[in-house]
Amino acid sequence: MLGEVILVGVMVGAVYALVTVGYSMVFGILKLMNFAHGDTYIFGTLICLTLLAKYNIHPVLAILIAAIAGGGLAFLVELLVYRRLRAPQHRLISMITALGAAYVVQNISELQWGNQVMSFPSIVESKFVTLLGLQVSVTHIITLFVAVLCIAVLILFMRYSRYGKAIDCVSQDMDAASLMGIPINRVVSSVYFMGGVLGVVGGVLYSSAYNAVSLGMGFRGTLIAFTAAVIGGIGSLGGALLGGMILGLSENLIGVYVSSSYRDPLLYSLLIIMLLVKPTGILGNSDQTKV
Amino acid sequence: MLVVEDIHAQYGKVKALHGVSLKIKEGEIVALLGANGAGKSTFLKVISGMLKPTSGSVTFRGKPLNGVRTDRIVIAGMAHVPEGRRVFPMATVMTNLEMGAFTRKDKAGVKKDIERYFDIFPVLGERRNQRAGTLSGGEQQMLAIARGLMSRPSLLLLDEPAMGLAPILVQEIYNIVQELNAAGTSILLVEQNVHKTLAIANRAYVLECGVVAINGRAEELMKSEEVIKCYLGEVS
Ligand SMILES: Nc1ncnc2c1ncn2[C@@H]1O[C@H](COP(=O)(O)OP(=O)(O)OP(=O)(O)O)[C@@H](O)[C@H]1O
Ligand SMILES: [Mg+2]
Repeated sequence: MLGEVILVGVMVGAVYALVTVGYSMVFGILKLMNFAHGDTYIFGTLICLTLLAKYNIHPVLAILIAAIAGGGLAFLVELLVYRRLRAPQHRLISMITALGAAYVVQNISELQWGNQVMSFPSIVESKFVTLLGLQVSVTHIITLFVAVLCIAVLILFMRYSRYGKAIDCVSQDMDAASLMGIPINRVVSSVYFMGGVLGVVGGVLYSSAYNAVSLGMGFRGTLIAFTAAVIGGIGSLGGALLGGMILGLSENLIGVYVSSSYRDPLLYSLLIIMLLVKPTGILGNSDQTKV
Repeated sequence: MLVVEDIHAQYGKVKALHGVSLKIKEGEIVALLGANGAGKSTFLKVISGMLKPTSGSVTFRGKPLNGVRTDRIVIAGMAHVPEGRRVFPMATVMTNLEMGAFTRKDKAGVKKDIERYFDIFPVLGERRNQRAGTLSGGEQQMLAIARGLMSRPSLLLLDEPAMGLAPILVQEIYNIVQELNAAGTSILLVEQNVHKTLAIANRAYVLECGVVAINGRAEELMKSEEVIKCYLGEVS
């Protein structure tokens, strides 16, 4: 039993990590709480639902289109809403604007899909197999695999590609980066786009694993990403992965062994404790901008 | 090469430049001198597109730069090594140098240049995989200069490149500036060491409270009573 719970926890953790990475990178580059993150990727997830359920499109293609739609929406939000408020003295205003953007995106989705819980089709056949003596669902294994794959590709991209390194440098010193000839606006746009894409992949994986999606998952998604990012160290890629994993695992363990109604209170207690004890997160640097 | 005309610039309501004009001809070293707060760094920021002037114009190799983004200006062949080093602290020495070459496509040439700067500044070579933020101040200064040169600019703006360096390295920096210049790079040099700077410069401008107070050939300024009185007094 414990083995199975941990495996599901790891699967959820990997999905949370995917969702958190997008959020945390965006924070890293503009030092802005992107409250619209969850609602943006749920928008993409709902598009995927429509493509799958209504138009019977092949799942891989559907995810691809949905991810581009979610990434595109994140791109638009940055371009239209955050870009003008990038200067440090506008940080508080931009945070409030981000809340507004979240609300607008959420309402657009609500017009199209309503706010009830909808069933989300399984992308892969849901059957169980025995693996290392554990009863595991194929869906969970594939979800875990896809999430880990996306994260691995992202890590390789950030570490070894010229563009990935440029993203990292823009988040360290935007002015100095522009003096290197790095096109700042394009880099910021692409980070928002990537954050949206990864979020949608996470959203689709999660919805498909639990066969459900709802508008409410958007706001909850933002909270999860925020909490995981803070626990791991906001703005740090490794921190996002660690935070997502901790959150996914503890959420499942608490849900199964304590009670699912204690799940959220315990999680947010974790957030508060982290903010009090080590506001820079587990992997955060003390010289990084605090939350 | 560079023609700057009647630049006015301000930060919010604080005016920093009140109509500054300056010219750099192909192959020249031009010094920009002045007391703290005179507006030297501000002027460089206007040229490299980091600060929008309220009025005035900058023309680089015949093309107006008004409203042109900094990264485009770098591609056009200008590099600005800003005041205060500004290396990427969390990135390695190597990555910092690679970023300096962001606009270049010739991978082999970039590698060669990096090795060249490791030869000139051996300490950077030894620390190539160390995070730039963990270097000493002087080492960061060397990295900032090498990084600025990585784009192979035709015009280089240097804002106090010798700041915080030991005398022997200061001399090294001046040598590099002269070598670069001999190889065809035009240079606008902001420095506190008036004597040394005038010694290598062709011409110089002295800024005072946001306006050009004096300008002329370097040899003449070295003899000028006004310059000697205000800037060289304690040195000679
Ligand atoms: N970011 C800023 N915000 C507001 N005022 C500024 C800013 N940067 C510079 N100033 C002001 O503009 C004026 C010119 O500053 P600048 O940095 O150009 O001087 P400088 O000649 O480079 O001085 P130093 O020799 O000390 O480097 C100063 O009065 C300074 O206080
Ligand atoms: Mg200065």
